[in-house]
Amino acid sequence: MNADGSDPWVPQPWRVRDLRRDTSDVFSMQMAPLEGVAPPFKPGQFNMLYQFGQGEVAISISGHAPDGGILHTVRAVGAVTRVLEQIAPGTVLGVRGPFGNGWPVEELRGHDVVIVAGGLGLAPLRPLIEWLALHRADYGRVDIIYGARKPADLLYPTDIARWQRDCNIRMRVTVDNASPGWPGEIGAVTHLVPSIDLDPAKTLAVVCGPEVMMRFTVLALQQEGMEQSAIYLSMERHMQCAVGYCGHCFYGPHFICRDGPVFRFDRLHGGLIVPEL
Amino acid sequence: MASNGPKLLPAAQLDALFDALQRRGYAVVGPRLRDGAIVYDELKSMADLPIGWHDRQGPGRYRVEAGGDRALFGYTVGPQSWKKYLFPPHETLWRGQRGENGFAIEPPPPPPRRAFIGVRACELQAIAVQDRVFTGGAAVDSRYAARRKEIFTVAVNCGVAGATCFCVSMNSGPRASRGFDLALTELLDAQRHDLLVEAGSDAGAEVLAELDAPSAAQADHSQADALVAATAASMGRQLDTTEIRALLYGNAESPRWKAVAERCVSCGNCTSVCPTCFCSDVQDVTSLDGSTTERERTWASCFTQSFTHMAGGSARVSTSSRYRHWLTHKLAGWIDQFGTSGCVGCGRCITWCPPGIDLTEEIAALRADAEKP
Amino acid sequence: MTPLEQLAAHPFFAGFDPALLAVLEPCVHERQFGKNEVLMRQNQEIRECHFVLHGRIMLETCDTRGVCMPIQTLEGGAVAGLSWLVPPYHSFFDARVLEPVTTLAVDCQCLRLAMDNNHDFGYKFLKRAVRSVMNRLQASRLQLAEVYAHPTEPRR
Repeated sequence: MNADGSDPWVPQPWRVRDLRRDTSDVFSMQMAPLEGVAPPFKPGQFNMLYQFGQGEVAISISGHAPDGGILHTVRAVGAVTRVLEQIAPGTVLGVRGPFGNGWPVEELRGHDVVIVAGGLGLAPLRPLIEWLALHRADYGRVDIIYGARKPADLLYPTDIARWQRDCNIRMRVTVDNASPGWPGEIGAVTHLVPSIDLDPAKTLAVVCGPEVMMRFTVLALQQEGMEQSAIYLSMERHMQCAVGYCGHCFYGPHFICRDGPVFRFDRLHGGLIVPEL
Repeated sequence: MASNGPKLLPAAQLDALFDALQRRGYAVVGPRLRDGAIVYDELKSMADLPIGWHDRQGPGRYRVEAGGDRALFGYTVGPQSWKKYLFPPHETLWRGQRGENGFAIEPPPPPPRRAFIGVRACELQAIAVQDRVFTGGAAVDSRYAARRKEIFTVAVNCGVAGATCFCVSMNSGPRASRGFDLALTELLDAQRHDLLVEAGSDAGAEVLAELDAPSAAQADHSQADALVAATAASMGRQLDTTEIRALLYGNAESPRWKAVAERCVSCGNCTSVCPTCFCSDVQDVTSLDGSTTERERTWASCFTQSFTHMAGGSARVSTSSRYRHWLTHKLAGWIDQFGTSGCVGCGRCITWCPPGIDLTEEIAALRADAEKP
Repeated sequence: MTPLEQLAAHPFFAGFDPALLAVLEPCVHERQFGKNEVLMRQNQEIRECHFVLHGRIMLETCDTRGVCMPIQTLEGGAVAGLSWLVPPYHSFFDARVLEPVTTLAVDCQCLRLAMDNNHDFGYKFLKRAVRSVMNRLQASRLQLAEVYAHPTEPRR
């Protein structure tokens, strides 16, 4: 049983209220429990979404949704997510969670914060950015670098505009490939790191994206004088139980599901270098 | 007058213990001979025990043979462990029925009461380790916890060490020191055949009090001590656990992993026979019309390609990385995660490995390589 | 601030010995460029390399019809015109201004001469230049790696 006495294996029924497509293979679902409101979550935590008779998949929480719901942004990439992509609003899914440790919102307090997001990595960062926006006075400068493959792959365009306009957040969006007329940056996220002009003495960095992108980003941040202990990132592995006893997400001595998914880089076993850990 | 101090039960009267347990509603499970191996199964009476049978083990080798005596527990551990009862190879976590509001979930029936008889010290340690895995964290595995609560444990102190045993190195045997309800020591020589019975819990003391047997004498205790000491002195293997975490974490890229991968066939036998390995897969088994489903949990092995599957491929493709993961997790990661080694020194993974890979040998080789200047 | 003092404050020269940097005094001038002005044109000799202070620049490559492919954006803190390093000192791309740009322009001939005359300066300057080239190369490779592509999709 969980701390609240419920069984960690038993999903609760939630209704999908709205499903809309973000990009060619990414969609977002607003969903809420059939009874009551969604349990509180910490930015960076994830849920296990269960489609009856099909199976379960770990999906990070992307934020609150109206009327006590939450938002999940999903990439249709595996057997279960491809089924989820096709469901109609009104469908009832099973939900277990929230799981994982989440982003270090307390440690970040009082610091300048640099957020580097790559691709779908913005989805688990969105609740953190909303948190920073909501408690803006508790944090120093907030800089976000967001990289994607091409402009059509960018998530949350209205949020991005709002964060920049209303939240005193500096955000730079860069793509690997663009057609003429793209008004943003072109180049890897690492290419924009020096332009932040960060102060290593009072900055903490948060990175989420594909592993290779995170490894390069850590190097770029270190070149700006940041210590490994000032950099946090979120890891991804195959997950089934989400509570630390199915074993699929082992990474060195870590259960990614229970001890992570967020790790301070200096504490992450193998430093993203040792292969096949 | 009933006493709950240690007693001396003539071996031929072990059925008195079976009776006491069965009266309490326990199904008694313990060792019995089947298909040329000593396995754990339901026992109706002591006659179902592998009386007079002994085992011979080595890397990749297991044989049973009749020893010409009446020993009840004259063997060590076989291919199975108590894990098969506490954490079964297949189980239904819940059943679901599609309905108006999505689906309704029905929990599985409550587990049976079982008495384990013949639990070795290393196996008690293995159960303690799995207790930490499934019930020691914030999220308790409800199914495991429910089964565990219904278990009565009769331990047996080992009177013989197998060729692949190394419980002394892992500090888990050969004497059962905790975690049992009753513990037996089989005293067998030309003059006698008795069982020294000690209680390790209130439940055990209650059963012990019911046994119509005399109190054990000092000489019986001395004989039992000498027997266990002799077993400890004749361990088939040893494993040096000094700084084992640093050794394994610090040598993740040792050439030794590739060398062992040339022999490892990725069969996963070691994970199946290991009494602490706890990894599992969960999947839906759905009726043809899609109206009902069973959420099934089955044992999984980190030696399979699919174990780390994510969109885009597996995280551990090479056999060397999988063996490294298994051994590093067992002997080091476990300490970080659960505050205890994942190895109890039972030697099953050595015996049941088809090519006979021996983890004690691998650790020694890794250590020798690491200490080379 | 003199152009030389401004140059010393550019991230490229962070921590650089000011006494050594003084050899560039005759080579450096501040330059302003308006939107759509071109700092460098592909296949033409680079006369000045630019240490960008403000603004945004697009590196692009264009065909004879004038259809341009965007390659990379540069901004304050960056260096444009690193091709002055190797003969024939031609630019590979067009560098076009997206948002008005202020740079410290260093005359390439003057710079090469300063490096030839003072190897200590030349060596230390080159180390910075290599780092800059290296970072740009690694970022370009990362850009090519399509790290955000669907994991099951074949990479190019």
